[in-house]
Amino acid sequence: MTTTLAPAYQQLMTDLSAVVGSRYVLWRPEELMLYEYDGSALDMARPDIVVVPNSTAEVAQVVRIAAQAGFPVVARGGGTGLSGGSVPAAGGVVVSTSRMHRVLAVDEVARTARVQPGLINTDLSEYTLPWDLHFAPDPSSQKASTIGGNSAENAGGPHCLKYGITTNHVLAATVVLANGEILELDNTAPDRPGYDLLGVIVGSEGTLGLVTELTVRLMPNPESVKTFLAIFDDLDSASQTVSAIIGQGVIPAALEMLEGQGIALVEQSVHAGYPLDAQAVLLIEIDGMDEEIDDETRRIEYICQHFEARELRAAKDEDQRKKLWAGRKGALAACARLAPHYHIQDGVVPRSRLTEVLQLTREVAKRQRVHIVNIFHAGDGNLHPLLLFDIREEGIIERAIAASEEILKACVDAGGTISGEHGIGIEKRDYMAWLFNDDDLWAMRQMRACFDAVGVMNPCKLIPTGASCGDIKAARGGAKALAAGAWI
Amino acid sequence: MHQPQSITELAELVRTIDGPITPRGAGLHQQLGNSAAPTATTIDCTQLNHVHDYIASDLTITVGAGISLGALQDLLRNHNQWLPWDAPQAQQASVAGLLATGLSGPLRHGYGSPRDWLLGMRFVTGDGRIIKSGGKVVKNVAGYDLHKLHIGALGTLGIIAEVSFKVAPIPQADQSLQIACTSLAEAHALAYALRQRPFNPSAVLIDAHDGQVTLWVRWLGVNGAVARQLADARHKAPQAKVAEKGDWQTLTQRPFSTGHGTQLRIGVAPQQLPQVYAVLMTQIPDAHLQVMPTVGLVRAYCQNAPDVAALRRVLTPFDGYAVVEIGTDDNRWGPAPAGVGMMQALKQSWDPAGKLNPGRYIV
Ligand SMILES: Cc1cc2nc3c(=O)[nH]c(=O)nc-3n(C[C@H](O)[C@H](O)[C@H](O)COP(=O)(O)OP(=O)(O)OC[C@H]3O[C@@H](n4cnc5c(N)ncnc54)[C@H](O)[C@@H]3O)c2cc1C
Repeated sequence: MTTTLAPAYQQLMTDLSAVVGSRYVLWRPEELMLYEYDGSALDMARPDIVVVPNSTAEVAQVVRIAAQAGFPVVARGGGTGLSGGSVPAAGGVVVSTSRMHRVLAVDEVARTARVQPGLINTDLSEYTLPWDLHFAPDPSSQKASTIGGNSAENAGGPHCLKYGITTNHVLAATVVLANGEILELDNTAPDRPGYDLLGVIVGSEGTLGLVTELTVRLMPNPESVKTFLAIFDDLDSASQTVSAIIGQGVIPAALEMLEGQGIALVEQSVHAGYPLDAQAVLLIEIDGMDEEIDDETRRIEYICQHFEARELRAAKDEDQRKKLWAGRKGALAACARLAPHYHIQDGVVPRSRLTEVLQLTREVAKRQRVHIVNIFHAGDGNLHPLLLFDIREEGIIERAIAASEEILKACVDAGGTISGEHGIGIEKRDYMAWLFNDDDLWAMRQMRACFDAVGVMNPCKLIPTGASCGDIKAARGGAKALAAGAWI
Repeated sequence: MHQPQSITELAELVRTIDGPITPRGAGLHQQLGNSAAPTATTIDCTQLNHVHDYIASDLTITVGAGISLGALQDLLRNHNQWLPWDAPQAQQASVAGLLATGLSGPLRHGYGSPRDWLLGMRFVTGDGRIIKSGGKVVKNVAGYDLHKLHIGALGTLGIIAEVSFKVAPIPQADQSLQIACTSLAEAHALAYALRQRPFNPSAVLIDAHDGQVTLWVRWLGVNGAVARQLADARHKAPQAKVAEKGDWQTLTQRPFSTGHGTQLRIGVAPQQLPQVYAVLMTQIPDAHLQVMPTVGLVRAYCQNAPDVAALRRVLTPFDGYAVVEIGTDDNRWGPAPAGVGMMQALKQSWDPAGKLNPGRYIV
């Protein structure tokens, strides 16, 4: 079968091939299909072209060519995003960073690394192991997500409770702007004069520019680590334990909760030793100097006892520790046994409001007749209600969306937010109005326009944009009718 | 002078005042940067000092940004909490003013800068809109982090009116040493020796003037861990003397109160510092220096006006910069920063009439 391509499209392909080589310009439908979706594979849109450049200079030329031809540019790292960030909602050129995956330099003294954006998160910490240093942000997707994607989403992870989220660890970035200009933002020399543009680039979901290099902070590996599993017969006590640990001034390295049905599901698949009948379990990890471990152990033991934990188990060795974590990290996959489709939310509440919002989650699940399992970063108050269902069931999509919205709304009402780490993307774009009024959104739009006046970079994301993107989506017919992308 | 009682009143004022506006906190750092326009109307924000939301068990707080950092710390201390931010003049200076001037202290080594603790903000733009960014919870990625843009912006991009911070428990132990050294190089090397894994001090500062170099180190944390580090430090530097908490305040306050002269802010990536010391010794030999050796930040207090152009030239190979924070200089900020065009566009769009602190900053 021969394919006839429109002349403008043919020209674009020729121009891009001249920059990166034809091998790295993908255009056949079967190639493009792989770039239609991100982590949840529910909201899809097909790119017009995918390019895989190998340097900042190539990216700059690619962006310039695409922009001049009137095509949007969407960066794509590992494609593990959970809010539709790398889905080209308005079509256009997807720039994959997969060939730009090198560690460029490690500075042992400054404890920093200069890296390319396509570097996989865990590859960096593995690389810096000889120096006993690591990159602290550890999203559960860290074996597949990239530092560029982490930076764009301002990713978090279990250990961000103590060590901060990605924005606290990015010191410099090379950014290709919508007009193809290259901007060097460098805070390695601290407090440089000028507005903190780096501070808005991190977390901007690829809407301000394409990051082609980053300098990130590295943290020393701790002297000791201790991991506990606390088992509870009711949800209330588990939430109160979380609140008490933080409230009494212990900041564990990680404080994660699994509750309800999820525990048995995880246990059946991972055999981490979680009791099948528990109502909630906490995974508590502390790290630091030996003296800190002793002190915090005592306090955690006391608090768990006070709130009547059925049992507090400490991992005896690295094997047991890995096992406990395998339960947490494999939780998502384990829950897939319950139903074939899932949708994960990412709301945050003040830690003191955990109990009531978790209760509400249970009520909502019952009322909407959908399974909801909560496996989440309890220490930060960052919930991850995992909605599980079978898409073939009549009316389930509407009910799941309703459930999901009700939970997020409750997070906002409790003084929290709609996303703690997964980003807004397409999925939660229209919920931004729950948090921000017209003036707030105006200020964001104005700021974005200073980087990209025409909307080349990842359009239709993050800020509600009115009709135009909806039109683009509808016109392309690629996006789901699933209620304004509530699905990712 | 106006003294709004609420953020709505502040916004109303900004809308109605014709001409330049100088937002003001405690007024302690107004000498930083270029002078305010002589015709400017001052808006004193110190009445925006209410505590809007403080849930101690959540370790978060939201306050009117006109509150003094001292008052904020007092409040937190009642719950055995604090904001690990030891900016100069912390007792009286307003939180808004300290954010706008981007000032931090030696605790930055162990705790990061206020940028790492700021969760959200409400600010008033030059056209009198009240804008919210970020939130009140410890994790939040909804929207752009517009609040970060105001740190160090000298009130040119908006008037900081309300802020939310993450706060921390006050650690059990708090011990400090002052260590006399023979040179900046020696003090620097010692500072790095004291942060060898698993050790990590909470604050580190090198103070050098009149031929005396002192390394100040502070450890906060669990008793046993602090004790072990202190012992290690004494072993590495037998000449170390115990320092008191109050010494830190005097230390970071002193140069600011020595009156006139020139105050420079010099920044380089920390790994460049050992080479930069030599440069400083030849370029500004008489300056009183305070160095954050692991951060890469130097403040230099000079009695006589230094040759800043020459200093910048020698800092260039190290990718460093020098800013004249206090004192007169035609080229106070040095070369235009990367992205200055975007900064100007942003200023223009949020403050179209150029009301907020015109001419005060680089943008
Ligand atoms: C099983 C699973 C678990 C997860 N757990 C976590 C977790 O614990 N914490 C967490 O925070 N997230 C988590 N996520 C979400 C996701 O992994 C993160 O958002 C991650 O940071 C995305 O990285 P990525 O490389 O896959 O980016 P992509 O999905 O490819 O892209 C994400 C966004 O970043 C932009 N982008 C990518 N590269 C660049 C660049 N170089 N310049 C500019 N913009 C760029 C894209 O345009 C897009 O908007 C999880 C996802 C899955 C599937």
